Amino acid sequence: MGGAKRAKSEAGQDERYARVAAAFGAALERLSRAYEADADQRLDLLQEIHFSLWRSFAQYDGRCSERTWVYRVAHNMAASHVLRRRRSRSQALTTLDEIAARPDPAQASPEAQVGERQAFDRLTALIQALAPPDRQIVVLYLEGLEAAAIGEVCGLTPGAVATKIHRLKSVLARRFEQGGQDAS
Amino acid sequence: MPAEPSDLDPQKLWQSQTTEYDPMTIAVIHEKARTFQARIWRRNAMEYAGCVIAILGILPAALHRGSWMMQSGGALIIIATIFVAWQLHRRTSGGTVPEAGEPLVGFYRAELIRQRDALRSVSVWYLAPFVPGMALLLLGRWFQSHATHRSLGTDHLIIALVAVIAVLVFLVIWLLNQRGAQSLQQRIDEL
Repeated sequence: MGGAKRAKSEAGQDERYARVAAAFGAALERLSRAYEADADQRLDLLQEIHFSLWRSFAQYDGRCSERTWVYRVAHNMAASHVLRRRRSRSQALTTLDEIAARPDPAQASPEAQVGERQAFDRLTALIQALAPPDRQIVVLYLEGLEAAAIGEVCGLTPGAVATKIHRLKSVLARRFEQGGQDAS
Repeated sequence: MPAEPSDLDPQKLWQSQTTEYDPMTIAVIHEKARTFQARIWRRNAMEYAGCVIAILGILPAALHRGSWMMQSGGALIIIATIFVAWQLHRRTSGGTVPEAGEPLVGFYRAELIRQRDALRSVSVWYLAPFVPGMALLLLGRWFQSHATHRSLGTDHLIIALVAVIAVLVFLVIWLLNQRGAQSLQQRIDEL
């Protein structure tokens, strides 16, 4: 009796995971890219995220939307990964406010031409330099979520998220639109 | 022709990334679940094995017939080893888990606080338990058990040296952990 109930529950867990993996697979891969620069470590992280998601569905009780749940679990897993990695390598992480206050190191090159590839690399480098709470907001914004939805995932008010996004937009505008001329 | 910087929409740029990996299949996930369980079992087995080896190492002192101090010291170190192993297990396996679906700010803060508290209180749960046993062991060696192949003066000098090294090691462990706790506190304050 109990065994049949457990098997049914596991089947539900499998089914939910399969649906979510199909719907969010690409977003989760992008998320892993935001949290890990090394290709091998990134694949490990991505697998950890998928596994955590599958495990998490054993206790998903509908307290929030499936999308919010997926992003919470995935970002929490990625933040744990960052904490673990920081113990083994010294890497100073920063906040959006600090990044906004300092010049973009890539802008120093006079011949810098911001093509799409280069812009993507710089965007990724910027994201990977952020501490997990700010990184999560940036990634969710880039995934196209609204401030209220980001706030629900992060545990912040929409106002606080909007402030962060405003700061991010000004940093990105400075880095992408002014090309190699902004070295200040 | 490369896109003009002003044309670049960060959201489009981010979402246009090509995917490299297929999602994991259910069979692979189940296999990973089995590996995960095996890893937890292995980790526990390693902890217990480490504990047993440490106890076996101190057992001769606990069975030393000529010195009640060394016997008591050895017994206390064995108790301390078991206590510290339990604390390590409790502190590394407890806490928040990503799978709980908590918002990141709370999860991240809780994780940093958990790590900070573990480092900050290292003197209480990691160092202090060994102090009575080690003190009794050294006192037993000093007063009740001498090495027969060297003079008493040399023997005492060696015991004193061991005591000084032990104190220094404890001090370094404590200092490193306090520094780690301070750095974690800074990150908590930044949240």
